[in-house]
Amino acid sequence: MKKLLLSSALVISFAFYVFISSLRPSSALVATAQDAVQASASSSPIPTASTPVAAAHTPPKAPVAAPAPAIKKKPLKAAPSRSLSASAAPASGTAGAQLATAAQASSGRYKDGTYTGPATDAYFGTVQVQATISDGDLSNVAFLQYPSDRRTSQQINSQAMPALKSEAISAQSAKVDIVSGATQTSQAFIQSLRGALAQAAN
Amino acid sequence: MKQTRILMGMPIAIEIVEELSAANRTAADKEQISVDIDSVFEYFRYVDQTFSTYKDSSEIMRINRGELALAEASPDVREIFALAEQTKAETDGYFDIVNRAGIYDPSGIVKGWAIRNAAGILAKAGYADYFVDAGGDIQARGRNSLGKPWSVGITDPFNERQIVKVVHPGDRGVATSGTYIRGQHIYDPKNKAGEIADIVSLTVIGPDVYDADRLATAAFAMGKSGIDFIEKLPGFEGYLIDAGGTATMTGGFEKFTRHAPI
Repeated sequence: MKKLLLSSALVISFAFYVFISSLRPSSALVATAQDAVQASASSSPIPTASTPVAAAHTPPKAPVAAPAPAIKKKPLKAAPSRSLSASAAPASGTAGAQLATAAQASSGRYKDGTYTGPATDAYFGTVQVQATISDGDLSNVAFLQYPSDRRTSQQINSQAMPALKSEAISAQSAKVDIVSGATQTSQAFIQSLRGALAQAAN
Repeated sequence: MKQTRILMGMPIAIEIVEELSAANRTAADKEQISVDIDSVFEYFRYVDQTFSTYKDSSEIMRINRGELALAEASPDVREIFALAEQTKAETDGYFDIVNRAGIYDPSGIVKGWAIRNAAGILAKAGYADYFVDAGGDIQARGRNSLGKPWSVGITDPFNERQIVKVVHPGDRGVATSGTYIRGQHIYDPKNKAGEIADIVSLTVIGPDVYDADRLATAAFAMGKSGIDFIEKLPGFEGYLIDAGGTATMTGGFEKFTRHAPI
């Protein structure tokens, strides 16, 4: 009976210790994974201003690195595997290779991260975009370069415009003499964005 | 006779309709049409030399570098700056040729202004049926080679090979402003099903292409409210397409979509 109580106390204490350690980033139990992620972040050669998504996800819980206890006091959720993969990635190599390793487990169409497209000629200037992928999908597109200034839209408190009419656009089969549409700037934007997404593609 | 060349970084198309009684036309007449089309392309080349922010030697870049004072610039450059100031005042600052790098970039007004002048060259040469199309901004006059009113197709912002609207602008100018995103974000990843506020294309039909171009540029900067701006302007009609593929048109726009021209 005493042995049973003592063993239970030890096991419970240990489980409690694991639980507490998983909550504190500085705990010795998760130190290995943490240090590796920090090292990876500082040595990352990704040429964009934003921190690589992988390194930003410093996991408070990283039980994969810890010896897995048989008894779970509280279910310990596995950290996103991309952050641990980043820790295992070699420090040298191109940004693309780093990101490729970092997002191996990502199941989306694109690998998470930030990608810069080529600076593309739009005649009156250059267009360059930076695409951010989150959860495998495009979540943000930022202009690094753009030919002409566009003021950010201000809320215009316009009166109701009953004369305005809306419709869904639909393809017209008629032949026309002349075409009015996408400008060079738009095409340059698409090219730069495609360049960024090509780097991100799985 | 129709010719297209890439100038100013965009395709520029010019068509002059030869009289339908072509049999009477001599070789000299056809030669004259070719020469007149060349003159118009030559004019666009001059505009490029003067206003291109890509050319170090252009007047606009010399002004940007402080090598040339505006007061000493050519009449055309001074005219553009004056027109830009006027447009800025008329659009409450939504039109501004100073770009985000702090550099003068008058492309949002030079294009329409140049097309208007180019059409003027052809009018002065005595032609009644022609069009000038520079990068999707258009000035047409008269009728096409089949004797029908000129038809203009608005391209699908999501598929440039398709047309989503056909208009017959008559002698009015047509300009389409557009990019695929405006500002920094295309949508909120936390609310993907939510309303996408951005617009991708705005076509303006106005008295001439100069007015249509500068006001389409200003209105586009206003986002969805841009169509309200055009609605309030007498003599202008617009067709706005948002990032979700919904179009909003001004009250009088449909008079251009019927087959009979105005």
